[in-house]
Order: sequence, then C-alpha cells, then structure tokens
Amino acid sequence: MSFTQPWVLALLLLALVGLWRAVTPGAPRSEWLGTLRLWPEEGAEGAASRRRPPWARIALLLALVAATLAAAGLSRIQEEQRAHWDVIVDRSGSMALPGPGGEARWREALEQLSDGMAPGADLTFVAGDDPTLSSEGDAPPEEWFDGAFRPAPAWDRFDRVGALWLTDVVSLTPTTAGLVASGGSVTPGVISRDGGGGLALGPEGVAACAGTPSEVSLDPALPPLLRAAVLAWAEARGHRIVSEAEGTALAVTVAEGAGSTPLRWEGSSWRVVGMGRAAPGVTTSTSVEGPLSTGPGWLRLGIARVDRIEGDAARFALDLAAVLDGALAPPGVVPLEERLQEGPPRTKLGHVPVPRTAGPDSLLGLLASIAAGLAVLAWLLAGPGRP
Amino acid sequence: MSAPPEGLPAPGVVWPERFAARLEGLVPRLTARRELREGAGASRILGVGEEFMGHRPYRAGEDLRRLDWNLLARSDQPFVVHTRREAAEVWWILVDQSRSMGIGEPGKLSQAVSLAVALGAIGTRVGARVQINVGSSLAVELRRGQSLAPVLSRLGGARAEEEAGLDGLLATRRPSPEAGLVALVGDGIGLTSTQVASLSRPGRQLAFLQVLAPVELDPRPVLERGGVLWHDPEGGSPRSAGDEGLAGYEHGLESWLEGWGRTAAQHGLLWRLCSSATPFEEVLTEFLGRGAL
Repeated sequence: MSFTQPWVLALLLLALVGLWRAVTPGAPRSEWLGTLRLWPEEGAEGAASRRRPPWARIALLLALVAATLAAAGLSRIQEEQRAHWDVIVDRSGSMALPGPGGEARWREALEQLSDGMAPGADLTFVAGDDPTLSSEGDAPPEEWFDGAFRPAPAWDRFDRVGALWLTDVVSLTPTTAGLVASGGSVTPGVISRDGGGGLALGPEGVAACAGTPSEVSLDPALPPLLRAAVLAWAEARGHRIVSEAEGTALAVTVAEGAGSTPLRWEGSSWRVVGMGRAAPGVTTSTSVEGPLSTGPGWLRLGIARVDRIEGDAARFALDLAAVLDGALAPPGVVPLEERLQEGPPRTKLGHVPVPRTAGPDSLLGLLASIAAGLAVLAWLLAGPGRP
Repeated sequence: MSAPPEGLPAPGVVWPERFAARLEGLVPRLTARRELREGAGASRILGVGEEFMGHRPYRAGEDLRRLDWNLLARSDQPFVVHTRREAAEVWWILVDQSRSMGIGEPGKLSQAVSLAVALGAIGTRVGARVQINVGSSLAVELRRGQSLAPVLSRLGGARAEEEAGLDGLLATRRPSPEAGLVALVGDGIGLTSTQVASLSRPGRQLAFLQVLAPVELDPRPVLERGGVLWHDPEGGSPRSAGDEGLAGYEHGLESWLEGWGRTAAQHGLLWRLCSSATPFEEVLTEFLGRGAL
C-alpha cells in the first residue's frame, strides 16, 4: 500500500475519535419527568436493547474513513514480477571434478551464479541432458552431480533469452543465453574402464590402468538371441551379470508395451527379423538405427521377439557392443575431453529477461464508491427528516 | 445507576413578561364577553349569583343535582334549572406546589400561579372575593380594586418544594362552604376524580386547570438527543427511556387525560389541559370560552 498524500491521513484521527464515541455507550442523561409514574417499568429485555448501536453514525464515519483514504491517494503496489531464469545444468562427469577454487566445479559455478544474480532471483534448474528433470530453488539437487557418466547438454537447444548455462566449459559461446562456467584445469584420472583394464589421464598423458569389473543387469524378457549377444559383450569386457538392476553400471531392459509390430532393425550388413513393440520412450538410437533408446547406465529395447539375424551377424554384435559401451557408465570415469578442459571462471548473464512490472494500482474509484455507498446507507439508517 | 439531576430546573415562580400589563388588558376583554352573552346561555363561572333564570333540557353527563325534579314529575321530561349565581360569591383557588411542579420550560409552578392570579383578577372584576391558596400554607385574598403588586410579591416567593400535590392538599385544605367556584391548578398527579367530586355541592362550579410541562406532553424531542434516565421529582426509582417505554408512556398519558375528560363530563367539571409553555391569556380565553362566560 502507498499514499500519494499521506498527510491527509491525519483526518483519520478525527474519524477514529468520532467512531469511538459513536460506539462507546455513554451514560444516559438524567432528566426530570413529573409524570414518570405513567412510564411503564422496563423489563430486562428492554433494558438490554435500550442502547442500540448508532448505525447511521457508524456508517457515516466509515464513509469518512473511506473518503479520507481516497483523498490520501491510497494505492496498492502490485508485487513486482521477478525475472525468471531457466538454469540449464551440465551434469556431465567433469562437474564433480575440482574447479579452480578447489571445490567441485558445480559448486563453484553455483557460487558464481549466486554472485551474479539479484537476491531472491527466480530460478529453475533444468537438467541439460534430460530436460524433463527440473528443480526450483537456489540450487539443483546434489545427486545430479554424483560422478556418473552423463552426456553434455545439447547446448544449442537452450540458446535463448532467459536461459543460463551452468557448466564448467568456458569455451561455450551462447548467442542470447547466459553462461556461468566454473572453468578448471586439466584433471588427471580414469577416462575409461572395463573388466579387462582401463585408461587414465596422467602427467605423462594417457596410460593403461587397472580395470575394475562393472555390473550389468539383464531383463529376463530379453529375447534369447539378443541376450546371447549382450552376454558375449559382457564376457569380452569382463563385466559381471547381476539380476538386480539398481546400482549397476548398465541396466538392459525390454520396454513394456501392448501389441507388436514387424521389427525394422537393420545395419549396413545385417537385419534383425522379428516383432517390435510399440512402446513409448523407445526411439531411434544415436549409433544404431533401431527400436532402442539409451542413456548413461541404461539401455531399453523395444523388441518383443527376435526370429533371426540375417546377414553379417558378427557385424551386428560389434554394432550392439558399441551401443552397450556407450551406455555403460562406470562410476569415476570421466571422458578424456572433459578432463582436458581448462580456463578461468567465466560469467556472462546474457540477455536478462524483462520482468513484468505494474505500477501502483490506484484505489480511488473503489474507495470513492465505498464512501458514497456508506453515506447513502447512513442517510437511509438515519431516516427521512433526521440529521 | 445515574444520579438524579442537580436541583429542579424551575422550582420558583417567574412571572410572564409584562404580566401585570397583560392582565389589565385580558381581564376587561374576558369579562366584557360575559356582558355581551348575558342571558344567551349558561354562564358557569362568570355567572353572578344563583338567581333563577329558567329551564333548559337536560344533557347527558350533567350534574343530576341541577335537575328540576318537580318539572320532571309533571312533564316526564328532564329539565335543569338555569340560574345566575349571586354576586359577592367566593372563588377558592388551590395551586399545586409539589416538587413535580418545578420542572418545565417555563416551569409548571410559574404557569400555575400565573393562571391562578389571572383567574383571580377576573373574579374580582365580576365582584367575587378570591382566595388563592398555594401549597399547604401560602394564601392570599384578592378584592376588587386591590393592587396586584403585593399579591404578586407574596406569591412570587412560592417554591415547588412540597411533598403533597393537589391530592394531598385537599386532605388538609378545603374550600369554605360559600365558595361558588373551586378551581384546582396543577399537574393533577395523584389527584382522583373522587377527590374532585367530593368538592361538589349545589351552586358550586368546579374547575381544574391541568398544567403539564412540554416534556411530559411529548418526551420524544428529549429522547432523540440520546439515552435518558428519567427521575421522578417526587421520588421513586428512575426509569430508562426505551422505545417500548415511550409507547407505554404515551398510551398511559392518553388514558389518563381521557379519564379527566370523562370526569369533567360526569361531574360538570370545567377541565382544561395546557402546557406550561402556553401563554396564560390563550389558556384562559379558551377555558372560559367553553360556556363559562
């Protein structure tokens, strides 16, 4: 609330005094009446109703209050719409690596974001690799940076006004979106690993390191031919097959869905014959055309039945192995290109979204109407001919 | 409980402005009317003596003592004797001096004493010997040709301080048997028709000038100024003034006054209700014009 002429409010004191006097029952005046014996004795009920509130005066005083508020220029300040930012969060493995300040890169980037934003900024954190995940508040969920392998966001999709990229990659050049990059230095560490061995970035460059078996779970509904191909891949890589999907480096599942359609899955020299499943979420893979979708740590196949593999079955196995390698997300493994990133922190807010603001909403009309209504009410309550 | 107001608003006598001069104009005018109407009809107050004038038909409500029983026996028709009072009769006027007469604007006591003096002046003009009694102890006599100044001086000292009203006064002060006119002046609170009737006797005219304050005749203007707690000048519990009480009061007042109207018709009483704010000339002109002249 605000007033353009607050000094007029002093009149309210008069109104309040009048209101107080109107509603406070004063002692009745004493008068002589020689013929009092003609006045009937008043019952308790009559005595209780003797002092009726002076509604006419109360209505008149309230009209005065409303008129005073109108004269003082009472207006309602509408709450300012804060600028809203969609913070596109890079959840790739390097965000858990130490940044220039020694903290995890995502924490340092978040601090940069806090420093650059007005207090109480309206932020929505969106997972860049999976935009269906979002979080309101001052920081994204900590589990988004658990070190698991995740692909970098497709940044071009988020180059728009109101978007802020939260990453460690300082070389990004958004056109309209903002950028908050923690930067970092070359960080040695494991860049790949399987049961037979691994590769690590060290002071001398990439070198072999000890492997660690990863756990892979298989859906029992997986068609036998595919199951055999996955088992061959796991054996070659030294991974262990487990039944429980949770916590594994890769979970291979079959999509649930009603009905089936003829399977269309083929490579350069092979073709899988069978029945596919029209299941939501099953899309074309990025590396292999077919009814499958994948992400860090999971592979989902839209296949109900496999009758045979026509053509070069060995090539099919290699292509499938590439898909499985890509989906495998062993903890602690950060791709080489992410470990090689370096640069100082960089913050560029870009185009700030224009908040929707509204000026004070004058209540003059409303208050004047209320005052007029109350005045008429007071006149009606007073009755014709009365002051 | 609210305390009673301090003192009565009009406990003493305040004579109307230019009272003596106004009386000098009023008295000849009223008595001249008697002379013009002499012989034209009944003259109940300003008649002179009990001289037989004739008969006229009886009207319902008239004093049966004025019936001519012999004529009734002969003609089987009721007639009343039409007389003129003898000259040099006595007029006995009793004024209420109780505390309830101390209210009003102007005060009821002032109006009552003024009316009594004016009536007395008229009486002396027609040859009557007038005795004005105020309250339980004050009394003055008026005779024709007497100066009013000492009378006004004595009566001006009256104060509405007595407990007894007209009803109480009649227990101790009674008119002399030769009084041809007995006039009571006051608010009549507590007075009964039986007491008035007990004053009646052959050849005597009874009159009652009832004086009430404007607030007693209509309390609404006072009530409209806010809550009121009524106090009785003669004692008793105060009463609050609610709307229901007002309606009851108005009904009670109307019934009370109607009762006096019936008493007047039944006992040949000349009764006139007036406000203490009504000019005394207006009251007497109307009062004496009701066949009294």
